[in-house]
Amino acid sequence: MKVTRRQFLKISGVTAATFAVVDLGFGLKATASEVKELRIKNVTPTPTICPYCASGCGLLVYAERDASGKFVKLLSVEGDPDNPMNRGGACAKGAAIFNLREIYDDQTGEQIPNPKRATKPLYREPKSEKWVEKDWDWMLDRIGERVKESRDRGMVHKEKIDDGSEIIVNRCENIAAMGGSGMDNEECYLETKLMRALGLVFLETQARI
Amino acid sequence: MAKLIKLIDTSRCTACRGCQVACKNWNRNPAGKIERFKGNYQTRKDTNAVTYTIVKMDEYVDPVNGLQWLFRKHQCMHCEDPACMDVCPRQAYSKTDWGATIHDPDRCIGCQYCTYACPWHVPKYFKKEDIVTKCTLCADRVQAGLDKGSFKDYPLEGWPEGGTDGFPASGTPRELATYVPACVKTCPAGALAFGDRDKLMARAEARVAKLVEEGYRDANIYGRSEMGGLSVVYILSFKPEVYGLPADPKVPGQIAAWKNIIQPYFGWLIPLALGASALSFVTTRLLKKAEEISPEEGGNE
Repeated sequence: MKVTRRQFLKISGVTAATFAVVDLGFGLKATASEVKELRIKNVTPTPTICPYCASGCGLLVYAERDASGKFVKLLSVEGDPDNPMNRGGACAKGAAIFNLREIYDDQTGEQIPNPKRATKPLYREPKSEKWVEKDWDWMLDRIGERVKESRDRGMVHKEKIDDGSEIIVNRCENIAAMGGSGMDNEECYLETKLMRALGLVFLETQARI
Repeated sequence: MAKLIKLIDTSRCTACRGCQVACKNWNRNPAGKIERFKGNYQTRKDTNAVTYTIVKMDEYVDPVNGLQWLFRKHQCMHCEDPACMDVCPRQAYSKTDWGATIHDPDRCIGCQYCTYACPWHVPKYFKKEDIVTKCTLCADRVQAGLDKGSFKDYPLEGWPEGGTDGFPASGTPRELATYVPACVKTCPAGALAFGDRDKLMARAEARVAKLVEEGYRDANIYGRSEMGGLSVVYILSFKPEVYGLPADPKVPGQIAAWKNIIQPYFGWLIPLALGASALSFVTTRLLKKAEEISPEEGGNE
C-alpha cells in the first residue's frame, strides 16, 4: 500500500490526538484509596477458649450466619481483648485456630472446609496400616471391650505389705488417663470419677481453664 | 489528619510468629509450601505473594554484648514517599490520608516495576493472578475505626484488669481491637503498637534511651525520616545493617530521573509533536501551495 505524504500526516495526526486525549484527558490517576470494607463490621463474635496450650487464652470467633441464624462460614478468629489472660493476643498456634475448621485452598485461594479434619471416628486395626471410618456405636463398644480386656488383664486385687499379710487393693495398673487443656473443671471431675471407678491410679491432666 | 504508624520494638519480639499467622488469617491467604531448612529457623527466606509479613532472624556477634539472635518483623514499610507509587504505570498504588500505601489489584498489570523500585523489594509477584501483592496495613480495619470516629491507639492504655468497665463511652476493647492491624492486635509480646505518630515516636525515643542505658549503644529508631518517613517504625538494638535493613534507603537514580524529569513532561511530547506537525504542514504545504502548478496530490520534495 502506498501512503502518500498527506495520508501519512493525517494518520499520525489522528493517532497523536487520540493519545493526547487518552493520556491527558482521561488520566489513570487513582481517584480514591481502594480500601475494602471491614468484613466483621456488624458481626457479633462468639467468645471461646483456645484448646492448645495451658495458658487458656480467650478467642473471638467471627462467623457468617445464614437466613435461619445458623453459622455457615468463618470470617475471622482473633484473640479476645476482654479476656484478662491474653488481652487480644494470640500466638502463632492460637491465631491459626481458623484452620481447624476451614482453610484457604493453596491452588484456588477459596475458603473451603479443612480436608484434613476428621469428621468421623477413624479406626486402625492392630498391625494394620489403614484408617477405616466407623460409626460411633461401634467405636464406643470397641473402646468398652478393650478397656475391659486390659483391665481384666492388669487388675491387681491383692498386695503383700511389709508385715507379710495381704490386703485388698483392687488397682488397675496398665491403663493411664490423660486429660487435655480443653477440658473444663466439670469434665475433669467426671473423667476422674469414671477412672477411679475403673480402679485407675495413673491420672494426669492439663487442666488450667 | 494525623499520621498513624505501626511501631515495632524488635528488642521485645520473641519471634512467636503470631503476627505471620494473624496476617494470613485476616488477609485470607493460604498457608503456602514450607521451604527446606536452610540453617535458620525463619519460616521462609522472604515474604511472598501470599505471605505479607515474616519474622526475620539474624545472628550477630556484637563486640560488647556477645552473640545476639535478632528478630525483626518484616513487611511493607508504607513510606511517606513510596517508590512503588512513583513507578507504577497504572497508578495502582495510592496513599491513605493517615499513611497506608494501598495497592489496588484490579489496576495492577503485574509489571513488577514496584518490586525493583522498592528499596526493600516488598511487593511480590503473584504468578497465578499476574499481579503483585503486599501488606495493606489492614487499611480496611483502620479505616472502619476512623470512619466511625472511635479509633484508639493500641495496645490500649490502662487496660482494665476487671474487664470493660473502663471503656463505657468510646467502645469496648473488643470493638477497638478490630480497628488496628491484625498483627498489632495479636502480638502477645507487646512488641507491636499502632497509633498516633507523635505519641509513638515519643515512646520509641524513651525505649531507645532505655536500651542505650542497658548497654545497647547503637540502639536507634529506624523510619523517622527514611523515604520521607515510614509508617512502620522500628526500634532497633543495633545498627540497621545488622538487621539487613539499608541504612539510607534510596530510590534508584534512574527511577528518580524517570519520575521527576521524564514522566511529568512526557505527556507534553505528544501535543508538542502535534504542534510541530501542524507547523510543518503550514510551512511546507500551505505556504508553498500558492507556487504549486501541478494539480496532483502529494508531496513535492
